[in-house]
Amino acid sequence: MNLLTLRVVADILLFQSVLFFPWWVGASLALVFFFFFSNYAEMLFAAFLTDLLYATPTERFGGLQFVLSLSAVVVFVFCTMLKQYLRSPHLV
Amino acid sequence: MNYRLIRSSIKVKSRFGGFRIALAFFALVLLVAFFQPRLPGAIGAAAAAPFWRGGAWVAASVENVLGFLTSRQALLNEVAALRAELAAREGERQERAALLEENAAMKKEMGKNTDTAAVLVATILAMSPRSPYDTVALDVGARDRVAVDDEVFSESVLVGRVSEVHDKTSIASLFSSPGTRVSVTLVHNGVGTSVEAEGQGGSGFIARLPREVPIATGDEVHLSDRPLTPFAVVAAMTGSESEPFRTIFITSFAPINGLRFLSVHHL
Repeated sequence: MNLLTLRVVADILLFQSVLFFPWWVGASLALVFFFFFSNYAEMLFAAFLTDLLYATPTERFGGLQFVLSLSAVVVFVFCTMLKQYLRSPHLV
Repeated sequence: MNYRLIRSSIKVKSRFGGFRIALAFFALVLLVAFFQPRLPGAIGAAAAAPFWRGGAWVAASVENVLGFLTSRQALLNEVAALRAELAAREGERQERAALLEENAAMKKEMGKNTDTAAVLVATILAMSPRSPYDTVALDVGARDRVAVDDEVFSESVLVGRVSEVHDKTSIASLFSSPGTRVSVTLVHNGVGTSVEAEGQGGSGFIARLPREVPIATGDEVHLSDRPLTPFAVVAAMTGSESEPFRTIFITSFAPINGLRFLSVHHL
């Protein structure tokens, strides 16, 4: 199984988990896949889909509906930096 | 033949590729949030609804198959338990019907409108823990005349309100969703104390009250604007004698987990 096929399977699994599994299963899968595949932007789209399906504007977040999506962007940026640091050839 | 290595010709993967994707996505979210917050939600819900219904059908089928394989004794026990529950529910139903009749008669006497709200039974498509926001996706929408702020009941207990309506589906926010504040009255020996309770998820609330206010475990809790409708009960309290306030843990009469249906009252 090549990497592309594996990525498609991972995407199907991730989007199914948004629909059928507790939210933390999807979040965990997204993190694992992020470190396995390069530039795993699908995690952002999964977060966006979660917001579209379940979120409503709430007072707690100042009437913002896309809290998970924005959090996913922050996590994405942080994990990208972490990934580059982990792969750095300067590290022993 | 050997070629000289020219470093500038080597294609290096950008270190900031990921950032660009994140930035583009962030811009997309902002655009959608400000200009068309409803459209993508409607598309997403319409696309997800068949999957949710399919999942529910598969779960029901598996349950049926497992039920078929259950032993005879287990089935007999289950039938006995269900009969007892049915008898209890029948008693509750008769009591409720009598109260509704009395209520309608009193309203008529006071000259109020006795038209009842349209009640829709809605199947729960998805809820917590699938939803990180403790919301409930329902299979009724604008096509069924559901509107924002319609009340959502579990049996006779008001549990939340509709907050998003799509064509065939809607999203209900629960009063017990984390961070949601609701005004309630705690009744102890017939004396009511109004307080603001904060949702904690899982049909639970917390409230803080001065130690001097008499409250006990098991006291009934009503919504302040619905003194006659059952809502919740005081489950526990914490706080030492030296503290001026006590934390009151309140549990809804209608635990949401495990439910399959809710009723939507269109006002």
